[in-house]
Amino acid sequence: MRFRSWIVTTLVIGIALAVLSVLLVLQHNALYSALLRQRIAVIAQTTAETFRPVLDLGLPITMLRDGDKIVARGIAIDPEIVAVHAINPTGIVAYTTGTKPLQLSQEVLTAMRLADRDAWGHETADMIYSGFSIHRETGGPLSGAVVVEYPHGPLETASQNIVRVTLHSAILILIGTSVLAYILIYLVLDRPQRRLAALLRAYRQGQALEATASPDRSQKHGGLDAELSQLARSLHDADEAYGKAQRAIGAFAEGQPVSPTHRHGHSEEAAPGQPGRLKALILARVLPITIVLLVASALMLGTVVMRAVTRSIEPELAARTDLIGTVVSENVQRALESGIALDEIVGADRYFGDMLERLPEVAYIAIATGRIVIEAGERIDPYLAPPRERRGVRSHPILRDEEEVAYVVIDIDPRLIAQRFRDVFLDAAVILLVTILLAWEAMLLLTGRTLTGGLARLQRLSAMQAACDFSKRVAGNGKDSIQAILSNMSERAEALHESCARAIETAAAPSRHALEQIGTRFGLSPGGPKLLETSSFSDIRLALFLFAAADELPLAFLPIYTRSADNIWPWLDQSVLISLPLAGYLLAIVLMSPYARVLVERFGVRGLFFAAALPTLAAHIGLFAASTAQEIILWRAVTGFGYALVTLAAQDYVLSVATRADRDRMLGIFSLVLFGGVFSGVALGGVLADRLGPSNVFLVSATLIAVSALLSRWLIAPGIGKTHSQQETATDRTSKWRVLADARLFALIFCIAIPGAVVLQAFVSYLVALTLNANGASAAEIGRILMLYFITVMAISPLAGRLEELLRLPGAVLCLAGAAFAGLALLPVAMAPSQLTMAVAMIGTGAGGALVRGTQVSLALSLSESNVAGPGPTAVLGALRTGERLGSIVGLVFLAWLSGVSGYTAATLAIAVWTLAGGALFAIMGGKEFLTKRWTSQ
Amino acid sequence: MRTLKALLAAAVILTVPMSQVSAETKKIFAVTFNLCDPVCEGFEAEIEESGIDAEIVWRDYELDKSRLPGLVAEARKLEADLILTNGTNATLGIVGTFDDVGNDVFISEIPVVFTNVANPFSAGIAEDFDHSGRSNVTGTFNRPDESLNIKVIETYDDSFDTLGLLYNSNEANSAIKHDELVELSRSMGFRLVAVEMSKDGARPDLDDLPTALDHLKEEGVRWIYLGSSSFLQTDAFTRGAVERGMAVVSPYEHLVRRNDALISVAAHLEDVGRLAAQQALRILRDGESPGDLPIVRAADFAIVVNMDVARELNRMPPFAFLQIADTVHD
Repeated sequence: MRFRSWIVTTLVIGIALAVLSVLLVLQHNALYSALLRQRIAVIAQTTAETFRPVLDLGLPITMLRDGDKIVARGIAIDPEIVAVHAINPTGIVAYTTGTKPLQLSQEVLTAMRLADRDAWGHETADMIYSGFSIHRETGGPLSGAVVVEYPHGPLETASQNIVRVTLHSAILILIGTSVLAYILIYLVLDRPQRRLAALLRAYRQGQALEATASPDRSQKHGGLDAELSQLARSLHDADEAYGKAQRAIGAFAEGQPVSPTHRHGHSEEAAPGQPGRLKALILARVLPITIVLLVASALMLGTVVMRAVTRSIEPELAARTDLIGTVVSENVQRALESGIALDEIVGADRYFGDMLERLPEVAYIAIATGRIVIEAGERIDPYLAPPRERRGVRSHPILRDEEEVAYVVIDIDPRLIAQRFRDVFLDAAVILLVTILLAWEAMLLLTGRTLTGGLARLQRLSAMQAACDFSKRVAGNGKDSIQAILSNMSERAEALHESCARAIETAAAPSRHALEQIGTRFGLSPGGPKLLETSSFSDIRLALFLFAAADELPLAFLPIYTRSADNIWPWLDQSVLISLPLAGYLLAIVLMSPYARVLVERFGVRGLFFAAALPTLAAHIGLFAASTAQEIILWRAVTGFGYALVTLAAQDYVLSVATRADRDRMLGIFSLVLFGGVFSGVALGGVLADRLGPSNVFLVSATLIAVSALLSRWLIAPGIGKTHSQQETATDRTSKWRVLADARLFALIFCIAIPGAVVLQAFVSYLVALTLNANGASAAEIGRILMLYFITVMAISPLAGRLEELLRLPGAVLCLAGAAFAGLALLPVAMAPSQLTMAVAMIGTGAGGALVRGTQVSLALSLSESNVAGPGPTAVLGALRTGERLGSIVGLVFLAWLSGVSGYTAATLAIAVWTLAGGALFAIMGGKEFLTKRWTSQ
Repeated sequence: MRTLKALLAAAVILTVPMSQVSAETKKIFAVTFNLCDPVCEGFEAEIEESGIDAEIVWRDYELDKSRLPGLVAEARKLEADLILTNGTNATLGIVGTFDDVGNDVFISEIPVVFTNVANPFSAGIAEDFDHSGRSNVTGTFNRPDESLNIKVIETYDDSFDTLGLLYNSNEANSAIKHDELVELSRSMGFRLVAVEMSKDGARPDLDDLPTALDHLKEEGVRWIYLGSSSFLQTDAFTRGAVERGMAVVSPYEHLVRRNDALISVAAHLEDVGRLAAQQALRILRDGESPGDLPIVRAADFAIVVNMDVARELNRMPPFAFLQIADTVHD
């Protein structure tokens, strides 16, 4: 037990550290690549600024003489640059420092076309591209662009350094925590181990288990001893029951019948100690150690790697500032070389002012000779600015006839640099959180299956046999003492079944009936003992978690991915087109949901989970290979089918394995696992897309789904769900629409549920990514902001149910509050879209959504009980769910169209107004009744 | 750089033995005027570098349109394989407008390549950029849109509101530019002070220049656009303007480099000449029909600023200009 616990703990920490290492390295690479691109962007931008006056005059970029000389200036500033190209709007290279290709590669041009800002970038396996587009006027057509090619080498070197640091640290931390885990587990499990060993040894040696099961000892050392004593008693009673059964069958064979009515011990159901409590008690000792060590090791690795990341990116940040200084110095020098004196320069303040607008971290640029001659921006105490002097030489001197006549002053805004580092740590925190969530799920599975699984089965089987029930056996695998006893007990059960069957066969007719009665009394049947199923929710939760994560990985970039694909329906508005993958996905869920229950009954949870995962897997591979928006729509719809079937199958699994008393709690945990997966997928999808490229994220999704499918195949017992509640499936499809005749239910669906779903589907899943992308956010940043929604839902959802009791407020008021919360939270982002207002919107809509979702179901159920005659709760809930899904599809497509016509902020404002107006209408329809509980009880 | 005189002397030498040239030698008859240097040099260099066996007969019509019919006759007599025309007047004198097609006074049987024409479309020489619309004519285009020059002035000088122009209604290209600027003054919102320099259809007298410039100064003009007037391409004009505190914007780079114009946005005339030679080669060497060829555009434009003039006028170029402009000193 101790060894296994240690192995499991080490394995879980190992998995966590491996995942964390990979993600942190990916994050570093994404960040370093972005910084590298931004540094090169200085060259791209300043070169583009040089071309700008020509383009502003109306001359095509191709018509400038000496354009080759202008692009060559970039290489002179940074010799590592491979090439600088100036291109016309169609991508034809007008000037270049390299060998002149006719046109840049299509993927680079696609990156330029899709960029919502002037600065853009692209990365291939060999090259990093940084581009800067020139528009004659804001929002006007593209006039040209400058593209800088940079080798991948510096990024690879930096990445290798981080990989080395991460790998070394992870191994050291793993060894350290593993040793610590061994010591701690040895200490906490020492006594239970010895007690169990003694018990098992005594059992094997056939010693009196009565002594081991002494109640005195059990009470002195808490619940674990009590459970072990209970196990000892069960084993002892099982021995006795076995003997009794042997004797009963043997007596018949020898013609000395034993009364079949006598029953010894307790049945499984009536056993005083719940079977499995031993498992819970051991886990209670081991899990805290595992969790503490897991979190501590993850934090340690995170801290070490973040330090390395900071060390890695600091020079890059400084290099960018240095480069800006060099460019400014070169510009001024060029002016001086034309024969102009420093104080004759005109328009430089405007020129540098324009440059500052596109270099947010630079607050101030000045040219000084001892006094300031030219300046732009606002001075900031430049404690983060690069040193202006190095070993007595000015870092950016301006020379005339080889004598310094001036130097460049650059002030960096420390707030923006601090924000950059804060973002890095926030990203790392998200990664840490996701890793811990994943490790938690893995830990529950591993501990449940390997650490305590045998003990739980032993406790259960011995309790059954103690109660004279020999109907079950366990499959024999493993060679430890627990497994040996389990095998022994299984063999005894099989032997009893065999001897009983043989006795019945050979017995005369009068004895046969009595023997059959004995068989019934001891759970014996001619078919032999059946396999003991010890299913629990922990068997499916990792599979569910991975599936949900895989499903949501693309959320942060799907609209942008769709937008970049070819469109074979040119007649369709692009905004509507990019909403269709999501709409198709939702429609598939609506269409599939009614059949999920029927399919579970037919194929079982395992069969359906596996069968639904396969097309979903294929769909993700399809999404990876898709080149047109229409393919993306098709494959995303297929994932919708899969998602509907898998989640509903998993829900049925929970209902099947949970006891009636535990059902609500287990459904709550089911939702948490599902949202945990969704949250992790959203948060990670962006990080992965930034590094691996969006299309490759679908391969990651496919891999996760494959793992999820295999886990479901291995861990879910085959029969579960097959015969579950057949009577509930026969619902009258039309009845759910009849319930809409009730005005209050109608109001609930149309004024609260549908706007709430529209907020999720049209805003969270669609507009957020597009709005943030338009503001220049990376996929990782979009994922991080989106994740706030899901984390808020996860935090508020458990509270929503209790708020009604705590605040003594009617559910209708909470629904109203949720709608108001969500609607109001959208207003700031509709007015001034930024990452901050978007974060507020995510938290507000998350909280509002959780309140609405948490109360609308109970509200609808209350209505079904008190107001809606006939159809009952199934129809009411069916109407609610189908209504909100269909409404969200219509709302999504409408708002996508609106965003195309009037912009993202207008569409966001429309959702806010819709939500608030829906809430207001709901309030009007409810009237004063909101203040009482009469709304649902009259 | 060779001078025009040397070039013309060579042309005369080339002309004499024309009857002795072998049948394979292509005869190019070039009609130009006294300021041809860069265009002619570019044309000649490109022909030479191509290796084609060709002889060029240079003829200077000395900006006297009455001499052009004689040059038409001479080209026919010499059985030229191709005629090069430099400038709007020379081109109109050799091929006429669309209305003159079929008129024996003009050439319609010998391939003609025009170059350095201010606006061949409004002058009735060519239809559009795709083709001239005439079977024997093709050419080059080397002028950016006139609005570009106005934008250059606006970018250079925030306070610009009045533009001066001296023009010659007797010179087709000059008159066309005047009309274009009248239109632009309306659409771009500046005042145009235009002075007609031709009296009774005669060629402008350079002695009238000081008076005309004084008039412009009195009208508050700080910027003068040269337009497309060949008679203004003199030192007297650019110097006179500077002395009166007025900056000259020229579509011809050499007026900035060699005279006292402040700024030009122009294609390099030597490149324009090379472009015309490439058109000629497509006809003579590749056997293409002129009517099928597009009117090719010069692609390399440069902003050139004369820094000494800028300092004299106390109008230093803006910082952004200095990042792209070629700056020259006298």
